[in-house]
Amino acid sequence: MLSLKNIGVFLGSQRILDGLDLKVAEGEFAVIIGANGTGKSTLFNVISGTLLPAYGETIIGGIANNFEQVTRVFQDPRVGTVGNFTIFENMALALNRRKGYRFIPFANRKRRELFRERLAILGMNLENRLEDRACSLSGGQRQALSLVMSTLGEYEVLLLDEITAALDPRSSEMVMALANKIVSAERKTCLMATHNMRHALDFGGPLLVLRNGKFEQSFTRGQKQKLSPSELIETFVCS
Amino acid sequence: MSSGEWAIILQMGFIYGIVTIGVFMSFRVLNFADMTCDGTFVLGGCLTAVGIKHGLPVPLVLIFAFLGGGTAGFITACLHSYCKIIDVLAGILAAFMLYSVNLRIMGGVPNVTLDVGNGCGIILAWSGNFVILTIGYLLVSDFGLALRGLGQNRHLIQSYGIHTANTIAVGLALSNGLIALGGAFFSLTQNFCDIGGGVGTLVVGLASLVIGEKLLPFRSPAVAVVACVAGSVVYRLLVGFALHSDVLALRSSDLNLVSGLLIVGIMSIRGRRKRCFL
Repeated sequence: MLSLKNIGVFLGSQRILDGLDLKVAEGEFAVIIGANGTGKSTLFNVISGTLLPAYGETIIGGIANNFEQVTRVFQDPRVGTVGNFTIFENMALALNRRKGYRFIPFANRKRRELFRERLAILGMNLENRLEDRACSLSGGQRQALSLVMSTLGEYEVLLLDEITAALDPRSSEMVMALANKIVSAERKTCLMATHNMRHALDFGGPLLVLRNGKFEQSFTRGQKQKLSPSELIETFVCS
Repeated sequence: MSSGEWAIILQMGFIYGIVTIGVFMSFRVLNFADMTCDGTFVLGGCLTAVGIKHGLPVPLVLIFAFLGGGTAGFITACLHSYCKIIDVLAGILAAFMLYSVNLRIMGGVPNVTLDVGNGCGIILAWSGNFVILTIGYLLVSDFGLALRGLGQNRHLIQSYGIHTANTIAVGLALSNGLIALGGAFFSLTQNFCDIGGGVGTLVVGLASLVIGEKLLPFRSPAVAVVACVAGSVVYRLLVGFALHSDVLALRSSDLNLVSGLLIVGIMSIRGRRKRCFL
């Protein structure tokens, strides 16, 4: 469960988020749309704890400021993975997220089996390329890897920050389908920001429109099905 | 070359091998262009000289040198993380200030002589192996992965809940501790410490690092640590050959020029293949 109450963020005198409220139930997949500069990334920074709001409350899984339980997939796969690390090293790095890094060897057989199993879900043969470096993968593969990395440890809330924005149309469809598959299999609370109107309508439950620092409009799953992408674009162009 | 000269080459190779591992920690692992080393090398040397003069046992003096260097690295990290000074400048500033600190430690005189005899070879060999094993193990541990990740992708590491400022501080403290340890061994084997002895430490370290990466081009970070020492020994050999060659007619005062040209040469033939480690 994710709940934000009356969040306010200011950048100097500029108002980014102002009195924003949000409630995503456990296991729910909410989608956020909004023009550039409306504060989608800021909102994600608040939820993941990298940015402290000027006022307001962030409650994750019933506990205030429980940022350890938030995991995030970045827009750019080069940020979400370490290019010069092998797939195995990337996965091992992600495995210890928020748990601390101890003085035990990072490679062992148990981990190898776990990673192979997780990567097999992607159906990209990455499980047999554990020793290849992440920079040798295509953008789509790399984003899929960062998706698996983000969902590797324990978490309550998954943030997908425009995860297909840096990909070509085909890879974009593939990564989105994978994300949907993982989210529905894990049944965790998920929040996705996107500029792809088709994705916003096709995937997830409630759809929220971010404008003027808060959610000004929202559609339920049922209402979404009656909308077309062009109608959706109009809703957030004419504000 | 005589057998004595071979022994000196090996000895210097080992001493600067420890320094090279320190340079490797900052430049390669943390991706932090740390210029503190010219100061920390002397710091290690003068702590040793003064310690020995006060009658302290050699192992204790080495520990002091390591801790002293670690403190210097920690200060550089703080300058970078808390005073927001870019890495290169933070190191230059720290080294600049260390000059005065080093003079203070040596009691205001620019050089100190000491006499410890020839018993240091064994300690050097043990310490060198210990450093290689420890750092090698560290780099293949979960913590080492986080250190290396920090140098490659600070943004991601931050989102994983790792305190970047603290991690850089630990990395730089280790790096400079090792460089100071190298300086300590230099003083012990040469039986003196000079305030200007640290000039060019970074260049020698980098040259050895680059040679080592050429010699053992494997991705494993543990191999890379061994490569640092191997590179350092080969660097000494190359310099030795250059200075002994009758054809080149070089003098020992030409050392910096020879070293510099050596680095330029090696760096330009590195060419096609990109850096192998990390």
